[in-house]
Amino acid sequence: MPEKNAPSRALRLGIAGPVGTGKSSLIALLCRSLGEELRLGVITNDIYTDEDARFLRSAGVLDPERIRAVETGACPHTAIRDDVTANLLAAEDLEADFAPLDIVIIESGGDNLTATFSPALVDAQIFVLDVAGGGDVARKGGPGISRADLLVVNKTDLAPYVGVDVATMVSDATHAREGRPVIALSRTDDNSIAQLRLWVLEMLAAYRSGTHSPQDPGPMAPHSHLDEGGQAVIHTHSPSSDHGHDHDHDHDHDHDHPVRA
Amino acid sequence: MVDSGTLAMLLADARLPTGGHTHSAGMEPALLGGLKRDDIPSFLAGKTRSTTLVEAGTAVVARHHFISEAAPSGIDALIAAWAARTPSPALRDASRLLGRGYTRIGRTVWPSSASIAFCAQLRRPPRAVVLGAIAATALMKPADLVRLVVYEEVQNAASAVLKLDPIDPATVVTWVLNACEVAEPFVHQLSLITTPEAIPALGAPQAEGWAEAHSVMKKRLFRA
Repeated sequence: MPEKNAPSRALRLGIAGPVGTGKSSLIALLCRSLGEELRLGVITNDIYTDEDARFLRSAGVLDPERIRAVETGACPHTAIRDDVTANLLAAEDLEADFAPLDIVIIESGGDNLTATFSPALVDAQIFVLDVAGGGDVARKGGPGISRADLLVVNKTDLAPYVGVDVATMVSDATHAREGRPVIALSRTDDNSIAQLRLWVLEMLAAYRSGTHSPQDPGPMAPHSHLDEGGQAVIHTHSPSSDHGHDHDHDHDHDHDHPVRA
Repeated sequence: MVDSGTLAMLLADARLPTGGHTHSAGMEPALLGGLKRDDIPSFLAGKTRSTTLVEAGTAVVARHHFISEAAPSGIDALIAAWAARTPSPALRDASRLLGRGYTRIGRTVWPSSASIAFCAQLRRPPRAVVLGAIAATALMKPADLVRLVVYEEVQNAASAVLKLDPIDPATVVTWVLNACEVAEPFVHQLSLITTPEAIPALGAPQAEGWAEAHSVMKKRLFRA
């Protein structure tokens, strides 16, 4: 767990979300909008080592030396959750080589809806969806959608072409997140970029003042079981008591998603 | 104190978070370098009889140093001996990354261990040295340490095949067992060594060449 007061290292910010939702582009956007005022470093976790790193280097948004690729052994979810060692070592090296840095951004290899960062690796995380993946995805929930520090609904400029109503998708997401922030983002919408920029700056300030605690969105998506009356009951395991496959089923049979304290 | 055999199981378990899942112990370099599937068992056997014995011997000598000397002054010479027997910079670098992963776990699990603290001070200790420090701390038997290194190398390489050239996972289990058997005649003798000079000086130039070529390839799943 990161230190409470005046942390001595950079904020580690995770960017997760399914393949193709625009994680690398979002990082390029962050580098462009914050690169002047903050000292940034980026770690990518692609399936094949350095696709994402090369994309970011070629985007010319950051000194190429500050963008490092980490191999994940074809297990991108493991590298951000069950065994974060490779990413931790890369973050330490990046911070040591370019000290001091303000933020180290860690991009997960694109995975499914259940892949979120362990708080052992990042202080805060953004989960990225896009409208082209379908307007109903936000409603499906899952740990990243429900409990990441920020949910981004990306590529809103494509909404008319894929028949998605952005307002409904954001409303579904906000409902699934019980009020946690959601930003509808498009790289062609300056106002949305300003919102994203502000969120990051506020998170950095909260981290530095010691008022932000890393949250674990939890490894499992909400899922349903049949109760004794044959009714489907949706529930989640609270991350603090969840041990992955250890289903001891102390369900609170609640149709609401339990909230982490 | 946990039994030596239990400790070996813990350290050999793929679920131990040391970053091991990002390594293929030379398998990805070999397959990209042209190794054919039919030759994988021979490759594993050859690896077991050569570079794996260097790793295991280094770990045994490190263990001896950490147990017998309060100030492990001989570690520099030991690391030099290991490096001289590991000519590929890519493989040395991979070993040092794994070493940091084990050091991280070691510091958490055995916070009062002077040996593991010493490894942390080295900043980039080779994996074999850190395993020696952990074995010294937890009183792991040297023969178990040799078998651990052999198993770890073989299993890491063999299971990487499942990601690189998919095959029935049960076949891979047989490969692992067979390669471990290849090492068995060497285990006792190797477990008794105490000096860097006694570490086998065995190389695998083809594998080292593959590792170097792999380190500059663009499309990699594994670190080395």
